[in-house]
Amino acid sequence: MNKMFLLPKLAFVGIKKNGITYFPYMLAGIFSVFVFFVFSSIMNNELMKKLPHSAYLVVLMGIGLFLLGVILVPFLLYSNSFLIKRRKLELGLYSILGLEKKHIAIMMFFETMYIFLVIFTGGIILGVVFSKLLFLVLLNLTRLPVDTGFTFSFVALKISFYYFVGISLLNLIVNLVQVFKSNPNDLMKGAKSGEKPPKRLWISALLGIVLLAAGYYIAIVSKVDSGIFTDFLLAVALVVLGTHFFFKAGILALLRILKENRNFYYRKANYTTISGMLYRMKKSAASLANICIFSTMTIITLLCTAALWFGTSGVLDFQYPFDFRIDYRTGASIDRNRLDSMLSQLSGEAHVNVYDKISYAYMDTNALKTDNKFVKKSGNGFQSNVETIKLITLQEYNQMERQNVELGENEVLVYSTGADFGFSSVLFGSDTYTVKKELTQTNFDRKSSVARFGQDYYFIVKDQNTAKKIMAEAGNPEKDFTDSIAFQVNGEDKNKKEFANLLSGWFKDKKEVVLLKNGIAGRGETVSMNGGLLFLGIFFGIIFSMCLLLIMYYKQITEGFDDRDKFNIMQKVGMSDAEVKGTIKRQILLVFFLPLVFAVLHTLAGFGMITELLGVLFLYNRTLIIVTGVVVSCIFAVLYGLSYIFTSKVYYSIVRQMN
Amino acid sequence: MALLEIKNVKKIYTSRFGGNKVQALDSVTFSVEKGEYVAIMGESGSGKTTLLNILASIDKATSGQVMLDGRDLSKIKQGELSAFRRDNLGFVFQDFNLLDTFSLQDNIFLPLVLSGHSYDEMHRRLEPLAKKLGIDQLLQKYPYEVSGGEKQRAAAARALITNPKIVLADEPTGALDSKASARLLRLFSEINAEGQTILMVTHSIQAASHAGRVLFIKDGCVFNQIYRANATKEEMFKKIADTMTVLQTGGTQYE
Repeated sequence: MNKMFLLPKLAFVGIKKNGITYFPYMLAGIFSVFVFFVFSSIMNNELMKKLPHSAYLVVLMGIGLFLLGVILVPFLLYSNSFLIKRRKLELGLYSILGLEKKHIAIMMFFETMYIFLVIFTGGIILGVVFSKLLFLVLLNLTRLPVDTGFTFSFVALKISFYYFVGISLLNLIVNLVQVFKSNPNDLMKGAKSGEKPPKRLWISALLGIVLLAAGYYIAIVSKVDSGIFTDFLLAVALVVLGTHFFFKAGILALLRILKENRNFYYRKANYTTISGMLYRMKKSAASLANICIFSTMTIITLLCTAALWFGTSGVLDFQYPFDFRIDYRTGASIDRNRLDSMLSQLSGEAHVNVYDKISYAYMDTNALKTDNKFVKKSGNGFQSNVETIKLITLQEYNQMERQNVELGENEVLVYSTGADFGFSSVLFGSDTYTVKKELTQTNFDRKSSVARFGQDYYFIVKDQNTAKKIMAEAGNPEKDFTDSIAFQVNGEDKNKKEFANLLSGWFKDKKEVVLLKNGIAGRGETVSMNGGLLFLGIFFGIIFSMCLLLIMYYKQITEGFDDRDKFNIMQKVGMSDAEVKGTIKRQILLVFFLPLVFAVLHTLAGFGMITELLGVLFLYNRTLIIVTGVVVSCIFAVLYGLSYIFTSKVYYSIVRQMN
Repeated sequence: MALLEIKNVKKIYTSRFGGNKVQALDSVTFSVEKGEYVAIMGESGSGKTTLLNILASIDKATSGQVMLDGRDLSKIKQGELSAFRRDNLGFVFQDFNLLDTFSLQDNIFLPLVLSGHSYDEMHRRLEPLAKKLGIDQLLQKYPYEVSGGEKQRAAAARALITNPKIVLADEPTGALDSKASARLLRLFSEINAEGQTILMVTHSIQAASHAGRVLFIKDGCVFNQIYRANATKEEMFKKIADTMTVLQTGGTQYE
């Protein structure tokens, strides 16, 4: 027969005959192309740059696309290595039948090409069909104005094409190296050789536990400061390594101990289960560790993004209690009265109402805080216990809060926007003041006792002289009062926007303005960021789950082929069908739910760090985070259970083929 | 009464859609006395594996009766069959059928663990047996760490440790080299001399020449049988070889 036709045909038959391993790989491939294409389409769409408040979103999608590119490479390589391992026998047979390595190489080239064509066209078709819909979902999640002008992106097609051609070539190279390295005899032998138990088991087991403990410890104790991202990465690395070591050695060691206990081991129920697990753990520790890590990633990704999304309204309220806030220094062109008349004029022009307006003056400085003592900051270097203090006079406080509080000469009220101040007296330099009361709520700023980021200490003092005295002791004596005005606006969206424009126009050339905070625009950006994160979170959750499912599936197949013989022998030796099935079921169940248990443990350990990190994004609602965590974990556990059932069915069908 | 009695056993295989019927065994009748060492010989496709499977209660006869120690195999309930098999029968297979997940010792213990024996009891039984079979130094090794002959001796230990009424061996020397085969057959003879009933299916004349009686099966029927009486192994070998020649050339010359 003509070689020109034989090799491409052999490649085709090879894929078809190994459908049980190749089809899931192709499905995963199609999905990978689909997601990659959708992300790059969204990234490269002109619309994205034109939408208001979409700046964060563009950056996020860019990061998402990059991460996707990074994750897919090892994942697709791993799956590919599994495929080639299973085909070694067949390739060995071909080479014994007279195919030269050159021919096998050509055949594998065709194979890679077929697979590439299938996954690429499949993924792109899905992408073209669904990308517009997904874009609309994204706009909805981010509350961005709905725009249907989303079009097919050739740039995205090009990027996806290059990326997946690259991965396919990488896979082909790996496969070719495998084939060229081995002789037919090795290829024929395949994986049927016994394994030696790993050496230095106890050291590895101990190392696993130590690594896990260290990772957990860092995750639990670390607080938000400049080091949190290093801590985060370190904790993740330690836990990933620790999981691998623990699954490889720790569980084996545990099983060994059980095996040493003769009265326990030599019992019908334990005997085959323990020895089977010992045998299995050796082979499948790596995939179990990977399943565990992917499970953890899925849970944490979804937990963070979903909690942030559901907690957005709280975040907005904390971050932007007012629609507008203006801080300024009273001077030639601005004072309180002039601002008031300007506001009523501009709001009239823009047809909006200004309400809930508060005006007050404060003095602020950074000081070094030790317990209840604030002292002057020395030098310009970074110091970790620098806190912001803001001083407000009693008169203005009473006015703003509609209160009638009185303060003695050396008395103050304190209000912390973060954790409670918690002392009954406060020292500024050498002067001591009694804290008459710690406030828990005010109209002018929001408090969250778990906030750790940008915490302010407000002190309500008797009068301006007291404020100046405190400034002299703990801050900058030269500093004067800053005026602040904050208010809400109501009206139609476009009128609010018009009003914002007028306002910034009016302030444009006024040097006295320290801060103009547009809460309406800021909220828009926060919402679009949180929505974008949820979008990414869902997609990454699906991608991680897909990796997990594929690893699980391949593991079950491998074990199915292994156990087929075992199943047969046990029956011959006198184990009943039901006994064999029970044993196998117990084993798989134990082995399979181990990663899930550890994933939940990892999530629990990482919970403190998750709340800290979400705190950076102003999400302080712990209850919400806990509830989301529980819900996400439960949903994940159900899906995990379903994939277990699905893959077990495949497993049983393989085992039964022989019987 | 004989230990094992086979009366008019027939086995007809029907292809999946009921089309073709193949008669594997056609009215086989023989019996095995307690303490006998019987070899069953026949060519591939003669029906000897089918016969062994029926004796092992893995397969059921289409008609006829198999009695072990007075009990009719076909009357045993499906649920009790595994327990019956492991308490009364010992198996030695051509391809050993040891589990890679267990050390040799644990492989040997498997049937005892399944019937709920204590470790001390198992250990007490194993010690003399392992010594006799020459595997006492290998007990902690795994099947993939030892030679074929050693594997087969471990498999024999697994068959013997339950003190079965009868040992069923299916081509036990089929995967062994001549030296290992000779050693295993010597062991079988010794065990038989101690009173163990053995029924062995083989097509090795060498193996069959160790037996006290050889049955020949052809086309699903017992074609002939030879008793050792007082013959030496060499004489027995010659007798079997002659009968095999007859069997293969059509069997009309002598009878």
